[in-house]
Amino acid sequence: MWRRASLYIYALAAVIYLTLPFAWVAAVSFMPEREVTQQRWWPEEPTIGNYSLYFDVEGQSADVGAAIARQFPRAIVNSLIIGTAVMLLNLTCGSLAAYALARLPFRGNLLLLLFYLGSRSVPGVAIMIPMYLLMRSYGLLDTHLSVILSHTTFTLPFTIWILKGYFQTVPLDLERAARVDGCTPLGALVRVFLPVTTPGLVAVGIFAFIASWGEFLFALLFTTTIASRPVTVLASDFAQELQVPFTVIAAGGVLVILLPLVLSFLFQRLIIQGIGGSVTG
Amino acid sequence: MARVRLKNLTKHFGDVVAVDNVTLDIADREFLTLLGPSGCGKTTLLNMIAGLESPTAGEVWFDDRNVTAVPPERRDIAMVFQTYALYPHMSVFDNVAFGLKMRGVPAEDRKRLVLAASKTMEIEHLLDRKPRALSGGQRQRVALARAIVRDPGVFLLDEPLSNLDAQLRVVMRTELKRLHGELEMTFVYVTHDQAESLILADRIVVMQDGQIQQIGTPESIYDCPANTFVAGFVGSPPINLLRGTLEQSAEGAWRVVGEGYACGVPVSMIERMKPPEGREVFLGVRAEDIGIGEATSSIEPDAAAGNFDPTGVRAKVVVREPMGSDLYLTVDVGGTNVKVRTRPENLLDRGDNVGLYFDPGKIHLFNGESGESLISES
Repeated sequence: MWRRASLYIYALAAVIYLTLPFAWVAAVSFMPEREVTQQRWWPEEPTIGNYSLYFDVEGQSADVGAAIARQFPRAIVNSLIIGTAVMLLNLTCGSLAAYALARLPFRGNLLLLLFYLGSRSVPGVAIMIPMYLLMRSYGLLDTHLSVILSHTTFTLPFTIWILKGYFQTVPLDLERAARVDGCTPLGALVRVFLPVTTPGLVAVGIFAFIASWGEFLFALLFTTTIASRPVTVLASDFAQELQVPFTVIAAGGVLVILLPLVLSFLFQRLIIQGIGGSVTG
Repeated sequence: MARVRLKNLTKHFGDVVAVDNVTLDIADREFLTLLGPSGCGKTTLLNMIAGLESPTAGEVWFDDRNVTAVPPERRDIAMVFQTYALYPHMSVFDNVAFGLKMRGVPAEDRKRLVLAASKTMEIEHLLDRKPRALSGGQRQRVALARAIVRDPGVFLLDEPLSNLDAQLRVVMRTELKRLHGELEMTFVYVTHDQAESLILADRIVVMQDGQIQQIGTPESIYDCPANTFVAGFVGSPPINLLRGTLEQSAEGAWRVVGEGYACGVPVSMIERMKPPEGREVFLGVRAEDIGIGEATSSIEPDAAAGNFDPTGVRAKVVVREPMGSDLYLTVDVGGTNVKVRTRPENLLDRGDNVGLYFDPGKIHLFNGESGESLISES
């Protein structure tokens, strides 16, 4: 009984610890500017005025930070393009690699897996300059592709590891049954294996998307204009402009968080199944 | 309808020889079981018939067609797996219909065939459910329906009953036998359960270490095992094997003598015997072929040369195991444990000394070194 209660207390503490900063940002985004200086926890006169800057399509506003805020929709589209491409690359390359590692015995497969894992331990800063030179020499600076490629390099190893483990829980007999039922090897993969592993694929796809969405270092390094700039980098521009109201910055923060949050809630069940579950025939 | 022939089939996994030069002719509509302990190569053999494994050497023929290089989807087979392997993302109906769909059967016919197969397997009320909502026995029925719906020439079953509990296994065993009678297909059935094999099969193939040890009807496998492995593997409890020496008395009568026992060998058996290489033999006798005589006061051997009871066995009871309709006694005969089946009324208990009698007509003699049977099948 006491054990159970302490478990709940611990879980509750963790939830508060994790959500409090977000909750406060969300609360601030609905406050009039003067309420922030009064150190309020909750908006007393809630307003959506802070958000209006971000949807000021005609560009009328001359408020501080308005120039940056006006670029937000475009930056969100950039982030969406980059995140979706990273997700698709992870799913196609990742599932094929993981399938091979899970199903086909070949020389050096363990070494390859360890290499993937090892590549995760290299800090981004360490390869920042070589990466920059590489992108410059291929003429990829300030393109979506440069950010997509760099994000894929650090999300793919994780994807392969998770998917390999997940694929190994699929009974081999399922594919064999599909073969006997008349499928070609590729047909068995498409009609039986992939549908069965949907939770795992959705989970790693969303992880890859969110990782890309939240990445800052490489995105900052490779992008210079709004043509390719993702929303995380744009949001940091507020720091360079003096006296942007904190409430406006908070509204921007909420807009950045919103999409990954919605995705996580929508696919919650599949993500949990994909990471913690297994497939049984 | 198909006759299956395997010609010198061999499968290596790296250095491991899983199936070693197997040649086998399976008749059309026969119920054949591949019986052996786990790792004996029986499932690999089945997978090669299915086309799921390609042989290292040898050929597989269906009727007059060499299918060795034909992939499973283009062989006329159906298979039931130990794990059932139902597609978890499809309803029972779609599971059963999947094979038909893959073969381009029109939707109307599909529905009709699925309903017919479901009726045979009594799963009509489950068609809308997902596999995870079914019990083990129901899943097994769905797996069987999925296999029979296509009316394949060859029906392959890989330990289909081993995941079921004991009661359900008995029910499904009967069901399978009924199914074979109705369907007129060739059944190849892999199992490690000798009882299943004896009950279901027209013929049994006993395998060990990738090699066929014996092929025969259940009766011939049970009554005339080809070697000590088959004798020990088929039958429950396993056959009793005792070391002994083959001797001929002054009058010309043959007997086997070992620690604590002597047993006469009938003339008819001597006539069918291959000339033994040495005099050392294994005497095999099943629990039900041992008679229990008078309780005796000691087990001291009094069978001095020239003065012995030709069928005398002296034993001491070690364990008493009542099994309802039968009573099994484990007795010590000259240091070897021997199982004896008797009536449950028998009052013998641990520590009692007893005289036994091996039925000479039912004994088996094996070469003391190779373990091969000394008696040629008549």
